[in-house]
Amino acid sequence: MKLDPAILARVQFAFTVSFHIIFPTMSIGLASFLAVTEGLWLKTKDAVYLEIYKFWLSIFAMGFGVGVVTGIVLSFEFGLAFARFADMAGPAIGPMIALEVLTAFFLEAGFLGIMLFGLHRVGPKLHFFATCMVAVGTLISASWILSANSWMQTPAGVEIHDGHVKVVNWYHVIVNPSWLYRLPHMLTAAYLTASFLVAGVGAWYLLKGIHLHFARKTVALGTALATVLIAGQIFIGDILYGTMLKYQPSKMQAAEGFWDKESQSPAPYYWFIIPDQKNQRNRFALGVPYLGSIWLTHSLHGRVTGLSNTPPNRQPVMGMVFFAFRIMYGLGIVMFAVGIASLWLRLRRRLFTSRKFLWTLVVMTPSGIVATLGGWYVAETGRQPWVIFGILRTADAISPVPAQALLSTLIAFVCVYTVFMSAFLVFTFRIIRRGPAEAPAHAEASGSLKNAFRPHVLDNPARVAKSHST
Amino acid sequence: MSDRKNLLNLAGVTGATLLGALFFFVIIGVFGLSVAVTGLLVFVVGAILICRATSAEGANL
Amino acid sequence: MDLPLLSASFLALALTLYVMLDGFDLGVGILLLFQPEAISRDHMVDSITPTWDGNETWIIMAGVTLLAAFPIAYSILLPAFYLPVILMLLALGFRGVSFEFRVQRKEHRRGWDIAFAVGSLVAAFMQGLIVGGLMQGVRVEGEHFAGSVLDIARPFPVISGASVALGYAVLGAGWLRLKSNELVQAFASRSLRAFAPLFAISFDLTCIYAANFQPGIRSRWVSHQVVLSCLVGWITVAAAAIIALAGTRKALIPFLLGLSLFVAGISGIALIAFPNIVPFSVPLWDAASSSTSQKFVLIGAACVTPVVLAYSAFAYWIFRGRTPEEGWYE
Repeated sequence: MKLDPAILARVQFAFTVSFHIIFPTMSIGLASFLAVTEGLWLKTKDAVYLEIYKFWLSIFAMGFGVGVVTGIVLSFEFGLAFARFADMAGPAIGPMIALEVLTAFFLEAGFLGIMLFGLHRVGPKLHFFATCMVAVGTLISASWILSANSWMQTPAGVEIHDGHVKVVNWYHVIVNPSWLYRLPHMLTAAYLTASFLVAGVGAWYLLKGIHLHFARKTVALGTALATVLIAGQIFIGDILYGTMLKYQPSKMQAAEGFWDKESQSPAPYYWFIIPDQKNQRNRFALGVPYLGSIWLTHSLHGRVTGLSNTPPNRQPVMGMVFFAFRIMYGLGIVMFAVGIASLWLRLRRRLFTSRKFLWTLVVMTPSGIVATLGGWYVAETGRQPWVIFGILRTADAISPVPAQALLSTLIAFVCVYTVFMSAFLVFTFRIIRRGPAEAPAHAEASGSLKNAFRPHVLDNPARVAKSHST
Repeated sequence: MSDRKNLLNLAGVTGATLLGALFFFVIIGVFGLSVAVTGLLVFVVGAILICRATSAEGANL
Repeated sequence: MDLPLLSASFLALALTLYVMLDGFDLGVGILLLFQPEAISRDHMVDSITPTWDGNETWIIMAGVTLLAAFPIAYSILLPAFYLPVILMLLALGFRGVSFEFRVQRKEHRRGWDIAFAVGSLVAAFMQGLIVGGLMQGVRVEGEHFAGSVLDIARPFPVISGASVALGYAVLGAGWLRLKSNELVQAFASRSLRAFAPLFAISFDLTCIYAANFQPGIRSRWVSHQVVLSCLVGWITVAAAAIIALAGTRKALIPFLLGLSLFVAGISGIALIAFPNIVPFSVPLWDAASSSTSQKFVLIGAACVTPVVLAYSAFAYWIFRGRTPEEGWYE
């Protein structure tokens, strides 16, 4: 059997990056959620917020750890699997990721220890600051890496000399044509992910009739956030669609499932196709009449541009882009419906008692993760056959590493990552089954920042708390 | 009486669904950008108002 | 201003910080293999739990600086060390997740401790293997790696791997002397007395092999005899001092001496490699990206690194003193 190193390199990178993205998506959302929760605790002194904080902190800690170690893999994998890409594009994306490490990774790592383990070593205000710094770190991190990836999608600000990229304008590299649209889209995706995670677990407790105070607060908070966020996300998504139509027409042509240079008028909206890339047509297509023209051309009789407008050797694989796209915004539509339903149920005072709705929330718990993965598959498979759009083809970017090495390490990654994911899920479910711990009567951490400078706080926080409670 | 309640409920749900679908199409820009922005703001403000109003009683936010 | 030289200096700084900071983290992990008491193992892991993530981040800094400032070298070296880098990444992965996973279930803690320890050992060994592979020279054609992924399976890289692992164990033991309770301190002293001599022997063997059998290194050795001999001398003396001080109450000095071993080692490697970044064929300046990229990294590094060091030091300070017996979790 002849193994193709190009395919193996792509499969390996696709696997490791898909696995990785699950965790930062959760971490970005949960970090901000934790900051909001801790802020609410400090402001209202209501112990339930500390309960929520501690519960989600333990899940956040595990996810963050898996995210860090799978992320380190990626920073080296550029060179391991795609050395020719690294060679060419290093001057552009390398400095951006270097700044990501300096301004974000160190910030998260530096304050994570205090956030996870310092509740009794530092005062509540400094601890809250640490939580906020971790949340800010995740945002800065997302900004840089999205800029790097956006540069790959819509390159700008560089000249090519001798097969190497030379940056001529850093502003154009960083603020490239798609970055400012993709960044809010990804951040909102992360916040939506956290909202549904939080609401789903809360709904589970409501269905079981346990931890009611905790559950009502988290369902209320989660659904409120999700409702506002999904509306924004749909808006941002549509604007992004327009941007990508301009800069990567082949991606959006593949996304909608039309082949002909100009579709029939009026055009249907395809929900299901069996594409035949070789013959540049669909063997089967199922769609809603008129909806294509309305949705895609904002008129009743508009024609949609198809993938034949792109030469076949520059076409992405339609099947991947089409279905990834529909998974992503299909879930988006469901999220929107859940949001509307939550508003309706609030008005009817049945948000916590409608069992059908609560079960829907439970099922929707991982929806943000699945939708985000769908979106990233649109982004990455839709950019093909390019790794730097219009500049470097993926097939030309592979490392000089034999196929057997790529295959054996791919298998190793799959095995090891399976262990990581299994452990993460097993332990997360265990934390959920155990439920939130009731916060102690005096839920405050020991004293103020002043206490952190006093030696005895290190060995007996309880003693200090006692001396302050009178 | 229960039938009337069910009918009102059904009407409410249908209304909410239609209103939701309308907002959806407005926000994705089928009627133009300015309509989309307006629709988004109306939706978000409305959602926030509903959430705050219903939290005044009960264990909501 | 020689931008590539400055970037190379920052790269060397990042690597040195990584080796010093994660060196003792990985060292503590390796020592877990020799600690039969579960409670003591908990205590050992607790001593590095609050700060490990920041420590590990320096290796990302080094790798990404290489990508940004010397992309040609990055694209040669990573395929060249394909297998050990991936094994190292997987090992670091197991070590990293074990921090969080080991505290979830008491029954499974021993399993995760083994993952933690083996992960630390494999990562340390692979790092040494890569250094050895680097020093043995990488086959390059034009701008691309032209050798085999199995080139590192040779005696010199293997013995380099052993030296680094043993060296990290010395660092880890030094850290434990500073941070742990009496019982683990005694264990750490015993470890220092065991591993420091082993490290010295391994390191000296590595140097002898290098000087006699590695053609690239031989010529560099000859031209920098004095400085390199001093560095080797220092390492040997420091190792001896660590052994001598192992049983005493002085905890800080053995730890600092351990750190100095690695600073000296990296200095020696830098001296041998210079002016190449891919020994012994690709000079720094040939592998460098254009000045706009160098400037971006250097300005960013100059502005942000002091801030990073400041709040990292602050985090260490918050967790100063002996590691609490009851650990970090409520």
